[in-house]
Amino acid sequence: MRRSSVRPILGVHPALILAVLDVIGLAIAAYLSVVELQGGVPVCGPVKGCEEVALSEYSRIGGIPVAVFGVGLSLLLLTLALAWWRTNLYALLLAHYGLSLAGVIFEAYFIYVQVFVIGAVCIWCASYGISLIARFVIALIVWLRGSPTVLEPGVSG
Amino acid sequence: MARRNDTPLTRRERRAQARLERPAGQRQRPSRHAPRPVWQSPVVLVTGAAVLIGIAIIAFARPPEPPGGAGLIGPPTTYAADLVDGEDLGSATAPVVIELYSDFQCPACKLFATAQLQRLTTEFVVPGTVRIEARDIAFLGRGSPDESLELAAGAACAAEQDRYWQFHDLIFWNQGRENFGDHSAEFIGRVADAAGVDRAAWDACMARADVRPALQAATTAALGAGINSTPTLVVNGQPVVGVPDYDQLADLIRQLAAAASPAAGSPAPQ
Repeated sequence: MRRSSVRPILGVHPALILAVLDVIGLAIAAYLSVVELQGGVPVCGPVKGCEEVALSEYSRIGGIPVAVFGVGLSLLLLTLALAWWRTNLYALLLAHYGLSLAGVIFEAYFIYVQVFVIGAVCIWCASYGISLIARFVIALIVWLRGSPTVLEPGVSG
Repeated sequence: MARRNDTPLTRRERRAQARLERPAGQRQRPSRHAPRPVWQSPVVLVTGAAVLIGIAIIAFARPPEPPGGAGLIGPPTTYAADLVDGEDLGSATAPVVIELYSDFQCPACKLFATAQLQRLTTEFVVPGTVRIEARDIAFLGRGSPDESLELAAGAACAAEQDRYWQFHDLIFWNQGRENFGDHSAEFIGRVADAAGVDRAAWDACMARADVRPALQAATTAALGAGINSTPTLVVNGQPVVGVPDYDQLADLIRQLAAAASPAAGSPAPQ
């Protein structure tokens, strides 16, 4: 089983940074999910656009609010980040990288829809997207900085 | 069994001896496999899989096409002819007037039209408490043709035949995607037919040069007056922005109706 030797970022294991970003994303997605599942619209304060995006047909997939999928993705990413922190298993980092990349691709589409189709931007959705991009970039940086070095099973890197 | 020193070593023995003589750090067995090509590396494979998954999610997430040739969804509300006057709905002497600012491509307006308008009409318009004056604006359209503007033009032309509210409801119950070409001239014409307009007169109206500039001017005026979100309901001068909470809206109507006719004690409809 491949384990990676991990160089800290800002003196911290990168998995913990990913975990913090996952928690932020989870909080945002959970708020949006609760509001939308209750039939309401998110509060944007002085920034307009949340209502239009939330009520748009693009904000649901198969009748389920997109934010609910965001909750699922964030929980999965958080689990992977914590598991990677505990085990240094390279596959867990790769899974985090892959899932966050898939999320970033969807987020790019969703931002395009908001700007060019709906004509309104939901600041909560944008914040979730930024956290997702940050998670993807960190996972990518970790990979670029070092490939797995120890190939023996049961040996921590 | 010990081997004599002068006996030549076999090839296997020589390899084993060389392995033992190598420094510890170099004692790893060389890989039997040639280096894998880059495209077979885990990161590349995971990246490819993630891109495919992302694209698949997007394909699945795209909203379905709006109702096409199979017909239109029929709105549940019917409007008595004596309540309709162009774009106005309700008694001319109603104590409460709601100016309803909408863009026909606005999803929140659809929510208001499909979830609250029928109840509002039944509880307050029909009894004579409220008159709704539609103020269509076209600010969500992008490109050419501007779908918001074309929809508003269709509604304005339907209003000339007092078929505005039928047209209004049909549009919202069959609303397509914003700026996706779903509200084509053919779609708008089909809605006009379903709304019961005299099609020849409606077509002539749509071809007129003064219809769209009037709507554009109304949009500019509304934006200038601070109406920058739809729906916006201006209830006897009080703006209610966004899809209202129906109970709060009903309370406001009752208060305004009572204030407008205090002698009656205002037995407002419940």
